[in-house]
Amino acid sequence: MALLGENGMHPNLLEITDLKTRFFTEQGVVPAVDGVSLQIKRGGALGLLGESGCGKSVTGYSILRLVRPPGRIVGGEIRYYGRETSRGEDLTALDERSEELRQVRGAEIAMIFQEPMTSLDPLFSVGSQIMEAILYHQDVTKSEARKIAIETLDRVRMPQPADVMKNYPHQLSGGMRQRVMIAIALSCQPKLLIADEPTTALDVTTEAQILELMRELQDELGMAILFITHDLGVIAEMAEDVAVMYLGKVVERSDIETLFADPQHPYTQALMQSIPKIGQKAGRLEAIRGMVPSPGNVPAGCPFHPRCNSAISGLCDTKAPQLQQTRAGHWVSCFLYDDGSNAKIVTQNNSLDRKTPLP
Amino acid sequence: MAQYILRRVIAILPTLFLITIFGFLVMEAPAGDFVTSYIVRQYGHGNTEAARIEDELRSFFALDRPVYERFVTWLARFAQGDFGDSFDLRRPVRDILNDRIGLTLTISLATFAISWGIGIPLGVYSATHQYSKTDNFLTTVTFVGLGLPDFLLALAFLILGWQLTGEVLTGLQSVEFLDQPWSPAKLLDLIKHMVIPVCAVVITGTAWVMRVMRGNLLDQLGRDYIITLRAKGVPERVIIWKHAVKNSLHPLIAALGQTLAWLINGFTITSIVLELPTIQSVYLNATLQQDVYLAGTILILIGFLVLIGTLLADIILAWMDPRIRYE
Ligand SMILES: Nc1ncnc2c1ncn2[C@@H]1O[C@H](COP(=O)(O)OP(=O)(O)OP(=O)(O)O)[C@@H](O)[C@H]1O
Ligand code: SF4
Ligand SMILES: [Mg+2]
Repeated sequence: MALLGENGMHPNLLEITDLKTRFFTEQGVVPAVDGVSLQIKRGGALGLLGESGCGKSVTGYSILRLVRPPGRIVGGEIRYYGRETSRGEDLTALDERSEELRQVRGAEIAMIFQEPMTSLDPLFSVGSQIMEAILYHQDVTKSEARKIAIETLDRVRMPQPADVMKNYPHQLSGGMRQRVMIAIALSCQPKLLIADEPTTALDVTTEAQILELMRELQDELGMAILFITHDLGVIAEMAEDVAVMYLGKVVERSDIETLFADPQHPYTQALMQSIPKIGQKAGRLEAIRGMVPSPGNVPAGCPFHPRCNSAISGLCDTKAPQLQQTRAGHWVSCFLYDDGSNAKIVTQNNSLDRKTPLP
Repeated sequence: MAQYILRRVIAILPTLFLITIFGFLVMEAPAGDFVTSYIVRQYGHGNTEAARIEDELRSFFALDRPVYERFVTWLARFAQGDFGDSFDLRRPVRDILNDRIGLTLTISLATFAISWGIGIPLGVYSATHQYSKTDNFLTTVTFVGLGLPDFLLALAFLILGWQLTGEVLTGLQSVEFLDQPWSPAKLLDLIKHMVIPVCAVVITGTAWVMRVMRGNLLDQLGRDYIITLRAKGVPERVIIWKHAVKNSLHPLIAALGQTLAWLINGFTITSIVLELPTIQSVYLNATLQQDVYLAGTILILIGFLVLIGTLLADIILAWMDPRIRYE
């Protein structure tokens, strides 16, 4: 528990503690997020890095309680210190349909998504979709909301914002739609923006523009960002702190410089080596041998051991390492930095247990 | 939008014309024959009079003129509302339709309004409470409703009604009211007779609307934009009714095009079973009797209604969906 800063404010805006989100599918229980703990500083930028399927999106969705059945948060806390600045409030305790949660969504914490092409309602003009966010959170008239919407579009560097208001989503390019999504997210000046791979679906030039825009906006508005990506280059540009996820767990956590200078977890090291060098073609993150196991079928012991070059047999394949601090602010979950004397034995994977009763 | 409508209206004109040609050909198909078969039938009834006026009949129906000439004459009359005479009922087709259109529309509009009025909210409820007890119950009822043809339900209701009241509620009016002017008692009698057909047809209609609505809404509720709406703090009720339902209406509105023709063409067997004085029952009869003018006219009307219905559906869809509007 961090100490309270001056004026009684908690230094972190959001603290996730031991979050567990599971999908109760017909094939069994999938622990998509399995004991994740993260802290996001006020105005800070935390990057969440990992391969496809490791649970990044589900972590983001869990914060805003957007996980849909058969998925459900089954444990942990998500403390938000944006409104109740000293004690915080636990978002996991709120009812999904409650007014309290509705007032957090969009107004306190906003989110943008990977697919700008499908994230807007095709039947309504983009103007009305931006105004909708404003009208449900601020006590303003329609024409005031329109003014705010145009200003926000202008702020996301949308050319001719007043004209774009009348456009429908299908009339805009992917990059323009993502600007609209960002405008929706920023229209109520949230304290935290969750950006779930906002540039993955865009071409390289547009990606660079959107990333630059988000950096500038973060500086201008002083909001915190949780930036989700599988792209090391993007994370280097966007984040101050990084958490690396593998199969639903955070395996390494530190500030960005330390992570790039001295990656400690074998998985992080492999990620770094897989960055294509200049003049050399390589697929994204493909240099790591073996396939990512499905989160519904997590290997026993250290989940990374089947793909790990440094695996210690007899230890890594039976016991699960815990996050340990190897230096100030640098946390790693690997037996290379921990003798394993305190580790729990995990002989059987805890996930695909067909006998687990469905809720 | 106005331009879109204009384009669409112009686009259906050739089809409209084709329908009249087709209808005309259907009437012509037993050409010459229908006078012959009429004479034969009259002969069968012991009437030899018809045979003597054969030539007269032929020239009356212009059977001695070339085909295109007959078509133009016929079309000119048709456009003025002169649809020819029914051989079988020995009355102008126009009068027959006039007599029946009011009651036909009363029943079909009532069933249509009720099916949609009940089906849409139930479908929305089912989709938003997926796998709840109510949803499971409604889904089961839907399957039964879709599995049982409406005429069977009508028969069952008829028997039920007979057991409960001792009356056989066929037709739309009790005999004693048939030639009476409209009065509250006659209206009540009409409503009493409408209960069975309307209920029977409403059950299958509602089941269909509900199933389509539930399926589409579930599909829409799984879309990405719904998450965006939740993420920006829009109340769930607004997400469902303003966004998801509007996006789910597409197939229902497309079906609306067929509904217009269904108004005079739906539940034919139920009409026959319950002896309803509707256009449907007279249409089936006319087809069986080769009563070409009557059958042909109704066929053309149905064709027109399908076409106009489709046009209307297209216009509503364009008005609702910018992707179509700005095509
Ligand atoms: N609706 C669902 N039903 C069942 N399992 C799901 C569902 N959504 C996610 N999962 C499981 O959760 C895991 C994590 O998914 P998540 O979307 O968080 O991955 P991600 O890290 O965001 O990957 P990506 O880079 O592909 O977006 C998936 O591998 C999948 O097994
Ligand atoms: S714990 Fe063992 S298997 Fe896991 S990453 Fe470290 S060395 Fe590799
Ligand atoms: Mg994702």
